[in-house]
Amino acid sequence: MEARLSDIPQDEVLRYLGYRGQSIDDNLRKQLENCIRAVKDCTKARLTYRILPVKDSMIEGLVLEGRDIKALLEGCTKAIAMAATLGPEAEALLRRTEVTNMADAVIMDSAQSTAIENVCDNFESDMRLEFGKQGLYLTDRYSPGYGDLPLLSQKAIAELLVAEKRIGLTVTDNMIMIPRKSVTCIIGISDSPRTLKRRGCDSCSARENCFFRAQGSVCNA
Amino acid sequence: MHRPLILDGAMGTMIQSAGLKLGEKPEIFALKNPDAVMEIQKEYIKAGSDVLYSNTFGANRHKMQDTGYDVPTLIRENIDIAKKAAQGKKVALDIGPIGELMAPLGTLSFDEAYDIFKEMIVAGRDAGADLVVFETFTDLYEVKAGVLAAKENSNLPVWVTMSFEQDGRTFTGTTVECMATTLDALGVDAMGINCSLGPKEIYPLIERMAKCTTKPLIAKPNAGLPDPATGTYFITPKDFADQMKDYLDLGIMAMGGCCGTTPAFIRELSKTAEEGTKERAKPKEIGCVCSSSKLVIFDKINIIGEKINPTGRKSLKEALLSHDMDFVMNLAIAQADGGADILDINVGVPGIDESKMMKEVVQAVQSVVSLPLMIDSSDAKAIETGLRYANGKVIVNSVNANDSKLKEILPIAAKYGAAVVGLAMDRGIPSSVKERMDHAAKIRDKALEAGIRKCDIIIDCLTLTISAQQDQAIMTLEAVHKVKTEMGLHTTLGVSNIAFGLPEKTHATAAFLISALHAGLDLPIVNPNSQSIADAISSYRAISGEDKDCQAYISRFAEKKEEKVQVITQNQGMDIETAILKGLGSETEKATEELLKTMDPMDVINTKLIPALDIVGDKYEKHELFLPQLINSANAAGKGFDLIKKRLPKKSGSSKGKIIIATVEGDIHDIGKNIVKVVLENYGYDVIDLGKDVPVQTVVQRTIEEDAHLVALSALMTTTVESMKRTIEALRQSGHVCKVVVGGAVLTKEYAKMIGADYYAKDPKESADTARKVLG
Repeated sequence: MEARLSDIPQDEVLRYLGYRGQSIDDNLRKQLENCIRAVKDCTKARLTYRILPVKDSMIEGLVLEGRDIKALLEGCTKAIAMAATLGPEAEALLRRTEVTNMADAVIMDSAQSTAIENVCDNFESDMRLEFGKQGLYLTDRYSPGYGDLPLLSQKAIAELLVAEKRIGLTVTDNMIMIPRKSVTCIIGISDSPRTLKRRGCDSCSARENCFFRAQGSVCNA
Repeated sequence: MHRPLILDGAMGTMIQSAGLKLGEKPEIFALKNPDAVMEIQKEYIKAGSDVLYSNTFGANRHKMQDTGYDVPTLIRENIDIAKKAAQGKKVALDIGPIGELMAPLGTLSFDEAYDIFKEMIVAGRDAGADLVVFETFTDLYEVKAGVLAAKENSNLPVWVTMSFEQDGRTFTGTTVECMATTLDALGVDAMGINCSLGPKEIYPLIERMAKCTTKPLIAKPNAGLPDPATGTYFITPKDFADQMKDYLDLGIMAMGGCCGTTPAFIRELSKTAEEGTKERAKPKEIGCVCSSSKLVIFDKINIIGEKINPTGRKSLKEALLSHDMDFVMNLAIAQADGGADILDINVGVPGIDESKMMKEVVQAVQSVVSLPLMIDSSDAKAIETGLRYANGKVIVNSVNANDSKLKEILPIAAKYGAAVVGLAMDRGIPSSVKERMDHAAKIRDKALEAGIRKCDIIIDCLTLTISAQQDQAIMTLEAVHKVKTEMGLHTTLGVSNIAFGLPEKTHATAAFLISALHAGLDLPIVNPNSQSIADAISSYRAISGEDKDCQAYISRFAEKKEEKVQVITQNQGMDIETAILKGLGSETEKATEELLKTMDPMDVINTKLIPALDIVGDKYEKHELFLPQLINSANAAGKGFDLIKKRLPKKSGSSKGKIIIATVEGDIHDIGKNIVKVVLENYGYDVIDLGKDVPVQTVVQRTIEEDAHLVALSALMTTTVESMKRTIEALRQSGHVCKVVVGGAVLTKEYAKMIGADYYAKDPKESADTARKVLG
């Protein structure tokens, strides 16, 4: 499965920017389009994954703490562990733009957040399709930081996937992923259909200090 | 025909079946189970390996922290095991990536990386390793630190293999060509590719590498490509060995296997090797330089950007003195965008520690542009520093024909394998063509003696200004022609000197440039952002045929025409408030210009710019504007400030006070900090940016040094708010009186109070409000 970046929707980018219906003139519209295009052009997304056996709601060879991940994997026979990154190219673009035009950089930063989500969404739907053909069902995508799954798990997932060697992704001692626009996640595989919940604020660890919630809106991630 | 060296195969998978538990470190496993590891290595020897890689891939200080084992012990024991298994065959000290990304992507510095490698190399050397192998690297800068550590701390041969994706780039963007050029320059003993891909995929990459270096080649591929879902490999030992046959025709020096290969693979490979290799076709030597991702070959006109040189540039001088790297980085980006192929770096300001400054500027520049560099200094120490910290292969600018100069600089250039600019002069300025030629010949001979390739020698025939020495211009051109055609050397000129002291310099400069290009100048040092210079070079490339079918010329000038039309339609006057509100920089500039005709500069700031920014801030607070609009407006106002600053005498009080800003130790998220910085600067504050991952002590030290009374700290992660707290505590303990404002995604007003901050700012607007409260 190749990493696939298919689209960076402008409304998603705006949402990350905290947009609340302000009027957007031609200059800003063009600026948004240019920044999104620059991100698309320079991004070289990469991902790596493994399919692992699950026993008693636990992934073999991967210790994950918390009740939420156990609940996710209940009744699953296997699970997918995945790591994806937009790569150092994206980060270099941002570093350079932060020097020349901070407003562009802010837009690109949001465009890149949108882009990595898109890569993960595409992976998830590709997998759903592939396993669907075998009569299997997938759970929601679950990342460290959701619910009570600690950020610490990022390191465990990355190490299991040998993500440094395969996609150039490392996790620092402070649990920061480098390159920064990166995601690790778990998806359960089950013989029976799963109720998918749209991931909402309830399962989000950032809910207490969320910028969107503070403004009375949601991020829709 | 001779048999290539056979290396070993994978250790990881073998050691797992020997009982290594998940998450356990192989280097430590070996200490507890020496026989198990020795058994694996013996099998490789039995299978035909001539060289064993020690089980020390991750035995570095970073990966072994908190394990209770020290690096020297791990390396000594593992080398011992390998030597026993080797039964007289060679043992290589195996070194893998440190496991932490280097700055600017990560936080590991070049010097730290060097130290980590040095510790390993000293231990390996003392334990009796026969050579040092760096393998599976993806960052050329990390490799450079390693190679220098190996060469400076041992006499062992050094081999390097890196891992590439199928397009011939590593994860950090290094191409096969840049790797080969850089490592060839650094004088490694052999280089190649390992891991990541199978023999079929690596072959075309090794073929490319063979064209860029005369050094012996190594290939250690994986057992094909794995099944992504399970990570297992499919090809058989026989298939693997068959696929490796092509490498014999390339004249490969050594081959082995990486992930997924076993002693069975090596056995088959040994049989294949019996056929022997062909004689290696040596590539033609071509002058070139490179960064980690861009190779510049001296086979056409290459523009060297001259602007990072403080001579005659007051604003750059001030920027260097105040460590304002944003200014320098902007110069670098502008020149790259203007079409420069190489950037000259000169930081010579009287009274400055040039060597220290060189390091800072080189690292700043290469963090934002991918162009190769030319290190420009007359100070040997600054040159060596530049060569050491530049990623890739660089040019030294310059030596001259003076004996002591040659003796001083050439060995440094040779050590790092740099190309060299030789000024065709001794102590005095030459006055004839012949004198120039004599100096050039002497420099060539001495450079060749020092081990510098002829194709890497560049002669500068000296541009003298026509306003003072009018007779010299033609001599320079003649000398360029002769050096190029008769001596077969590359040529450079600081073209802009020609018109020094004359009005409308660009006309004479462009005319001289074209004459010089025609005479044989191939590395002009110019200002690529000068319209007439860039136009002249574009035109000459079309005339000389370098620009095939004039394509670049056509697209350059066709686009220009469109731009002109746009400018005309937009050229309407606008009042300053509207311009700032709309975030239009050039309109704000124009409006400021207009106001300055009738108003005092300080009044423009206080009664026009700041109030306009206040309206913007107000609208942002009311959600009538959102973040990009706020920053666009701040940027636009900044254009007005810049213009006014130029009009105000220095120290006239246009700055509203100093603010120290930093992303705290351990955190590398700096976009929020940078937004706040832009806004504060454009409110007229003097912002001193310490960057990201800033050690507690650095914040304290710089705050005191700068006598700043407001410190702004940023942290994005809950894990790093702790170091924010420590930074605040240290500031308080220092006794220096200052206020601290904090911000970042996970912070709240309560949280800020808890960690001892004076203020919490939820957005850039609140930061500006806080600054006004504290500093006025």
